[in-house]
Amino acid sequence: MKRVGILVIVLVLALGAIGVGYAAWTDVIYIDGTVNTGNVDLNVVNYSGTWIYKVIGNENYPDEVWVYHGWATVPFEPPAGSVEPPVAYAVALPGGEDDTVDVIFENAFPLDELSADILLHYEGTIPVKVDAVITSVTGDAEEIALLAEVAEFHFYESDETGTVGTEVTEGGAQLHYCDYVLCVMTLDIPQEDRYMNLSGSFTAEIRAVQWNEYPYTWPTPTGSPGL
Amino acid sequence: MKKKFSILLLVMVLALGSLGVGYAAWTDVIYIDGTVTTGSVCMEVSPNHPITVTDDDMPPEYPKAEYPTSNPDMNGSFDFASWGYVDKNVGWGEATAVDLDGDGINETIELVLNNVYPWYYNHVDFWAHNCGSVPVRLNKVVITDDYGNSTEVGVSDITTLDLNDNDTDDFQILWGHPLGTQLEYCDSVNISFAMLVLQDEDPAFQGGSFKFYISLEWVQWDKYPYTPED
Repeated sequence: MKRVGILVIVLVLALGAIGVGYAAWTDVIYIDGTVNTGNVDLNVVNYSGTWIYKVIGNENYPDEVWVYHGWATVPFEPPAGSVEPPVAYAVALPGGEDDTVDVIFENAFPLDELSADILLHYEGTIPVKVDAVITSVTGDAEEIALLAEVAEFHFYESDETGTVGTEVTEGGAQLHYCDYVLCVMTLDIPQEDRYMNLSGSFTAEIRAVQWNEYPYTWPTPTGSPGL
Repeated sequence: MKKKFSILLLVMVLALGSLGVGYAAWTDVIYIDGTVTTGSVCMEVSPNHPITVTDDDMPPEYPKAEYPTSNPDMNGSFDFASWGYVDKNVGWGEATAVDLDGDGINETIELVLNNVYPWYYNHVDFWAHNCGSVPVRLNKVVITDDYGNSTEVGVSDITTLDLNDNDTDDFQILWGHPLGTQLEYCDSVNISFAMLVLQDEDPAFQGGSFKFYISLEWVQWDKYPYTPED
């Protein structure tokens, strides 16, 4: 009987030891998450300029001036009597790299129509606000200061044909997917002699930022003194 | 004579005694026919309740944002310090319960956030249903990224993820449900969490598709809190 009692105790201990090692019953609910992000993508789709010709002996131009504003990539024929080269011009052209633009103002003088434009097409899925800023200037400090006073960027609602629509005057031009906006660069030179014979160069940025982050504090470009 | 008889008797007794040890004893038997059924621990995404994604409105002309809109997005700030509606409908979310292991119950929610951007906020709530016969408790919630990095969370914990593994945190999850919730047979409980996209200026984060995973482990109620033995 005593041996039976010892046997029973051994069996209980063995079963108890096995019980501590058992895993509990479990089940799991899973959530598989996928995050698809949108994008910001602003592109230049066309470039335009302004050319000013002196026209001699053409009765259609009694003031002897012809002002042409059109796409820089489309050849044009000045009217008969036009004197080459043009008196002045302003033009935007494709730069050497993607998303770069070369802008030239040559022999500018007080004239409301002298502008170089770029037509921007927004191809990103996240709405953005766009504005422009001059990031650096090079040249004589006094001359640059005068030019900086008269340099302007304007944004206009537009379409694929470059129509000049309503000017955007408040806090950044807002663009949704497939919107167009025309960025017009002008020199609003007053009729003052001190603006004659100035020269300089500049870099500028047309900046698009996701609309919910506007106004955005952009980092200062490296190596640029800024304005 | 007497001595030989005594020896014979002794031999016979011994022989009969040894024979007696080999005889079967009188016996009888009672039989027990036993039946054992085990219960089950089973949890599913409740088929009787909807999965609610707070912002589930796709812009009607996607990829063009809807503006003005009666279904605006929500934006938030870091660590869910605040959130609120913005003026456009740009991104949206979708969620579906699915049965990936083919056992006839939906154990997985496939959640997709579309066209999202920094500071985009969304919120999901769903119902978990006890489809087993054994009461259970919510034992563990684990959030994992696509690179094997896991975090166990509790209620109100914020998990920050780097969805594209570029050393810049770009996603946060605020878990909304406490551990230890107990469900009896056929009980359901509402569970929710919020999500926030952070600012990641890496161009590769735009126009991409990234994954995260959440697992909710439920354990038989009498074993909570449960940690498996090695």
